[in-house]
This record gives sequence, C-alpha cells and structure tokens, in this order.
Amino acid sequence: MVEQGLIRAAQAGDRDALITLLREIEGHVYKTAFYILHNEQDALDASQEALIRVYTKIGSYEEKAQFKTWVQRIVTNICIDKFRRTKPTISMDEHEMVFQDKQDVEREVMSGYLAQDIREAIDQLPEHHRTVIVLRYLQDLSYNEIADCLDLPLNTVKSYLFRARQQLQNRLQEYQKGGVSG
Amino acid sequence: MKCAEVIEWMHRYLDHDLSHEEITEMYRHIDACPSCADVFDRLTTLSRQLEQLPDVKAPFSLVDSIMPQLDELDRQRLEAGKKDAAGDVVVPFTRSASQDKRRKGSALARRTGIGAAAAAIILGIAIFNMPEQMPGAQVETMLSQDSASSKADNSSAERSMEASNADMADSGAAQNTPASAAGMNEDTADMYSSAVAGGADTSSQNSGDMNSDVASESTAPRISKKESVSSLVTPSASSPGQRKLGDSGQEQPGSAGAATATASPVQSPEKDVYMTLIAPTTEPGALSWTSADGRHMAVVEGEKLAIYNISANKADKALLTTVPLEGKWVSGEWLADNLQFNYVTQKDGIEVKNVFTIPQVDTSSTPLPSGSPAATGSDTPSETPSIK
Repeated sequence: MVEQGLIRAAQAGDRDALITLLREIEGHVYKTAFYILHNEQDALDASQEALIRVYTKIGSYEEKAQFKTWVQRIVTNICIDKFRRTKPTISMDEHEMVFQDKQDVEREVMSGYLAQDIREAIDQLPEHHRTVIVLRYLQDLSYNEIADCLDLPLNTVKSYLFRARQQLQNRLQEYQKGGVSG
Repeated sequence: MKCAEVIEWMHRYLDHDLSHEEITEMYRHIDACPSCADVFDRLTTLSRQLEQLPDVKAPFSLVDSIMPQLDELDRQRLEAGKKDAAGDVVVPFTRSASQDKRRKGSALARRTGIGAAAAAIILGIAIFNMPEQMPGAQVETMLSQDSASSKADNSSAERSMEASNADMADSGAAQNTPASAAGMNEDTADMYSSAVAGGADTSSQNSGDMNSDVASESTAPRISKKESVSSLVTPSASSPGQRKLGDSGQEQPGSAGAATATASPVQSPEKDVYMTLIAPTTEPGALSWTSADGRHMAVVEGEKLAIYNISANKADKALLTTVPLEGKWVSGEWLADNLQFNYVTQKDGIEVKNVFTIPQVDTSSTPLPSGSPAATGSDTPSETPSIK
C-alpha cells in the first residue's frame, strides 16, 4: 500500500518522492502487464510507458480514487491498446488446437492444474475477461476497484469475471480430459 | 434454489461477495446437488490456483531504465514553463518588455500596433489636459506637455534607437546626440522636451512616415491636435540643427535638421502615429534643451537654469543668462518660436510654471532658416529608406 504522504509530496513537485513512488509501484505495474500481454518484451514496454505516464500525470491524480486503481487503470489501458495493436483477437474456435498436445497428460481435478496451463488458458481469454482476471487475482482488487480501473459498470465486471472463470474452468477441464476436439 | 443461481453465488463466494446467510444457503444446496458440488470443487480449485499464480518481476529496474526519459521530460517541462512564464509577462508598454530582445522580433508588430493606439489616446489626453510631467513615472503614462511631437512612443523607442543609429551611420552627420537621446526618450522621456529638430522640416515631403513631418496631413491622422503640429511647423527647418556639440561634421546648416528628422522610426501599420523624435541633448543624463532652431540651449545647472546662445557653426555656446530655480526641477521645453522656454519647478509640492524669453536681439543675428529646405529635402529621401 502506497503511503498517502508520499503521493502528496510527489504531487507537490517532490521529484524524489515521485521516483520513490514509481519504485513502489513498478512491480505491480509489470505483473499486470505481463499477465495481460503474456510476453516479457511487451510487458516491459507497456510497464515503462505506464510508469512514464504516472510520472507525467501525477498532478491529475485525485485522492477520491485509490492510487492503486489509478495506476492499474493506466497500465491496463496501455496493455489493452497494445494488445489490440499487436494481436488479433483469438476466437473461441482457434484455441482448441493449442491444447491437443496435452491430450495424454493425466490430471486429477482436485490436485489442481499446472500453473503453466492456467497461464496459457488465461492467454486465450478475450482481453476484457483476461484483464478482470488479472486485476482480481494478481492485483487482488474488488469488483468496485476493477470497475473503477476499467470504467465498466459493476455488473459488467461481475459478469466478465464469472464468464472468465467459467471459460478457464472449461479449458482446464478439457485439458484434464485430454482435450476435446472442437 | 436453482443450480444456475447457485453457480453465480459460487462465483460471488469466491470473490468474498456473499453474506454469511447466503454462504450457508449455498452450501445447503451443494450438499444436496452432486453436479453443483462438482462445479464448486472445480471453481474453488481454479480460484486457488489463480491466487497462487507466481509473481513475476521485470529482469531489471524499470524506474532506472526510464530515468533518462524522465530527465528529458523534466527538461522539456522546464522549458515549456519558461515559455509560459515569458508569455505571461507580455506588457508592451513597460521598459522591460521593450528591452526584451528575445521577443523583439516576433512581438514587434503587435507591440507597435498597440503602442500606436495607446500613443494616440495618450496624445489626445495630453493635448486637452496639458498634464505636468512627473519625473520617474512610467514612460507610458505620460507625455511631454503640449508638444506632443516630442514624446517618443515608448514601444517604438528601441526601434527609434536603431533607426537613429542607422541614420547616423548613413548620413555621416556626426550627430553625437541622437543615439543616446533616443534611449533617453525611453528612459527619461519626461526630462527631454526633445524638440523636433530643425528636421521637422515642413517642406520635406519625403519623410512621409514621420509624424513630425507636419506638411503631410496624412502622416498624423490619429493625432488630432493641430496645435502640436503647428508648433512643429514653425521652427525654421533650415536652422543649423540643434547639435550643441561642435563636432558635427556638417558644414552646411541646412542638412543638420534633415539628419535628425530621419531619426524617427515608425514602420508600424499606423506608421503615422509615432512621435519619436530625437532629443538633441549633449549627454545622457544632462538636463538640457536645445531650441528647435538650434540657436539656444537651456541647461539645468544645479540650482540655476542657464540659457546659452549657440553660434551658427555650433562650435561655441555662449552663456546668455542664468535664472535661479525655485524648488525642484520638473520639466522644461522650448516653445515653437524658439524664443520662449517654458519650464516647471516644484516647490513645497506645488508645481510652478515659469517662462524665460530670449531677448529678440539675439535671434536676429542668427542665420535665417529659410535656406535649408532644399538641403533637407535632398538628404531625407536617401535616409528614410534605411530606416525601413
């Protein structure tokens, strides 16, 4: 949790405070970028861009919003822009092929899925579903905070999150069953 | 409770969005519904796995990596800030603004335009109110008394300085005064009556852009005062000029006036409005006034006002008389007839107007001005273009 005094000092023009602030948030920024973009180089680019934006826009931050959601809003916007520019949206049909090589892997449902599987499954989600999952699980944000970040109605956030989880579960279940032909 | 509804509650449960009662109710359904129990197991497992996703870190410090960009941003912001600050300080009529060389080029046209309008207004006020000059006051707030012609428009002062310098160089008329006088018009405009040099040469139509050129009415359309105009006309243009220092290279009396006349600047759209004239003073800071015909000079010397006769070749000046000054000096100027010197002193906070009149005997001995117009006419045209 970023200290409020540090934010105020940074807003008042204290450059050292602002740099300290950036160091405190850079890990969070990078994590979000990495899980949304699923690519180290893209994540680095997006994180740097986000930090620079925080640096230049710190004056426009208002305390009525949480600082962490303000930061996440910046980084998710950059990621979504980047994502749209670089990756064509993957349709539900296309992704099926990806999992076919996992057919032989046996898994117990209750023993959980491999983290790698989950990450790949996340990567297959539509951008907004993926983003809400990242904010919910990687940044531990509440519905309201996610809604603030993404400028979405609360119900939409819930709906995205439920569907995202459902899709993830379906994918992973397909894994576990050895893949389902599409 | 339907299964679909329970599944939604499962999601909310995972997001800590259910009340205790709801949780109890949900579990009750799950206990009785194997398929929902299966879904619930999968969802909780998924959610736990998601919560346990490994943290990731950038391979290097992102903040360090963007430091050069941040420094660059700071530098740009600093420059932008300076520009903004400079933009806020545009005060066309202050000395600092007119001396700000950085903005000189770009803002000159605008400033001269504004200055021209302001000059016209101020001149109008000056004419009707005959304001007293106040030493040390801002130049733009004041004008010399009635001889509106004498006041250099502040905004054009720097221009006039350049112009006068150029003229000096061009004309070769070694005028020692004009350059410094122009500067003084700006700084201490009140101190100088800056009589229109014999240059107010009425007959020379050439210096059309000079408002001192009274002959062409068009030149001073905004300056609605004929009075001052007429005062300019009278000085015999031809007189040797008001150079008091004898070093001027001019041998011919007539051309002197022309040289000074060209010193007025004025290229603005309303080019006519400018009143910049070169005060023919000896040195900057000296309180002295030379009559328009160049034959007399009034100098404040301590507690006295000294009146000098200037010889025809301008090499010598002879003390005519001195007048004791009552109180503090305020201002002074020659009238158009070159024989009367009006000055104002201040005593006990009250300004007193005084008049000194030159005895007629002296004037008759000086050369008559009539000869010069031809000379000035020929000189002026060649110099005027250099101003533009």
